[in-house]
Amino acid sequence: MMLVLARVPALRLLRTPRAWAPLLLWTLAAVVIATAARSTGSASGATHVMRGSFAFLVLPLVAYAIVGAVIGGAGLQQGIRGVVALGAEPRQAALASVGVAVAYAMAACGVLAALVCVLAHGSQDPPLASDLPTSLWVGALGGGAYAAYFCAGAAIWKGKLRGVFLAFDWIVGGGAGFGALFTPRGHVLSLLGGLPCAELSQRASSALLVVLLAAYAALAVALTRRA
Amino acid sequence: MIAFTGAHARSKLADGKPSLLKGVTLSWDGGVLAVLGTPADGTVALLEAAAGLTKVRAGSVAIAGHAPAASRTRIAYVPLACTLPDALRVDEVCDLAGQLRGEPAQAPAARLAVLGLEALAKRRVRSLSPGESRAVSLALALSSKASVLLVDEPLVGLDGSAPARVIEALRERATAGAAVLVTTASVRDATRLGDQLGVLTQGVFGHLPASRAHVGASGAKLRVVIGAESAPEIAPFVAALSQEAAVASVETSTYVGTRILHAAVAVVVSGAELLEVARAVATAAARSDAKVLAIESAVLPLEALRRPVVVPAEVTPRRDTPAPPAPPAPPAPEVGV
Repeated sequence: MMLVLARVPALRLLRTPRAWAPLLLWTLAAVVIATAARSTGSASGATHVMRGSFAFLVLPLVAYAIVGAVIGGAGLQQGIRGVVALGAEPRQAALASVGVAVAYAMAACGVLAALVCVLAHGSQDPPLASDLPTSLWVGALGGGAYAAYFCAGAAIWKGKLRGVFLAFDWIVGGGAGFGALFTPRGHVLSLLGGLPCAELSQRASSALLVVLLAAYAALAVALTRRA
Repeated sequence: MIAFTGAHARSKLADGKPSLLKGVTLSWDGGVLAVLGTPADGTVALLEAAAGLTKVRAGSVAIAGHAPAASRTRIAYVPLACTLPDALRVDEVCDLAGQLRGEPAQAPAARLAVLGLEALAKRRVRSLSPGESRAVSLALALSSKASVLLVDEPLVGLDGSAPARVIEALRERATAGAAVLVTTASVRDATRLGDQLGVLTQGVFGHLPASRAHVGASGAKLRVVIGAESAPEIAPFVAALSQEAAVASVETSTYVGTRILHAAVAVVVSGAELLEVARAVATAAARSDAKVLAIESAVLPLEALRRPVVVPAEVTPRRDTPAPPAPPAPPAPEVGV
């Protein structure tokens, strides 16, 4: 049943060329920034780009665009209304949409992180053989956590809180305070070698990202019990 | 099959206003129950509560003895503003609908044929007009195996011959044992569709005798369309009608021609009892050999059928305050053809 339900949000992204525009834009931006870092001869270009523009801009905005494309841009409830009208259970339909958004975001952000790592890699960066899988893993986990986070925002107030969640992540998530624990940014930065989030270890940040992914996905589904 | 017991529910309309149910009790096991009312009267809340899409705050709603949310595959709900999965083609939506209900595979064309929509099969849902989208939703509901059909304004927004097909298909489903609950603000549609009528007024439900929709202060009226080039041609029919005791008055007017009825004369026949007037028309037509093309019963406007609602007083009156006199019953309105 979940596969049947997942087909609708999956096809919504694939069959909506207009939804690809922001994805292509941020992918292009990431490639340009990474290439520029390499061309300027930065010795630790991958580290700088990943902790800088990739973690700050590209990762959240790619996940944001994917969530918007998968749920249809007008909120999670509205996005699943079509299948609910055909007899689907609202929470199952919401879970399918969130699952597809998370899967797409993990794949896109993971691949993009790996691409940026390769393009911007400098002599002072860790060896590519270890840096590439780490970037892939952090990008995928971060993308998935961001997608679940934005899905929760999309389930509130007809989806208008998705943008508020993005702003909250930018304002609070980069800090070392208590609020940073609840957004993906601080944990992603920590995993990319930045300052620890709320003085947690990388392992703890990694686990918290998984917890955030599950918690926000569950919140989105719970908020969509009626479509 | 559909059972409301003192149900209180609240739905939100597109304009933000509430659609309320206030202690609705009704039971419907089979056939078509047509509930008159507007969304603000609670028609949307009624259907959404039955479909399990809105919370019942007090009382209960059951579908075949279970909560509506647990009976989702037995229910086909078609709201006025239909939403279909926008990324799919119509034939894919047909397959999806069958899979979600766990129904045996059925060719999309067969599902769409219920309303003659086979030509839409390869269209993207996004490309459908609101009327086409609604027709597809209705076709999916009518072709499903659902034993409970909930339809808001079933004849609104349809083109061409679709309303006649919808009526026929709904009646077929009802005959096959389905419990069909339709809501409409059109008294004409309700009388065309319903085996029984109900009315919702400000969230309060009441059953409505079918004859009540047709008979006002001046009795019942039937419009009889006779195939004739001019009014003098139907003089024998009018004369025969005038001899019938049940007929109070007969008015004749030339019919505004359509492609089907290009040469016809309409006769409005009035009388106290609808059934007696109908018998009189049949007798007169047989005697005068008139070519009857159509017979249409006049209906009362919705406002006239709304059940009077007694709003409970906010403040309990003092014991020594005499009870106010009961308000006089509103006069029965005139029937308009």
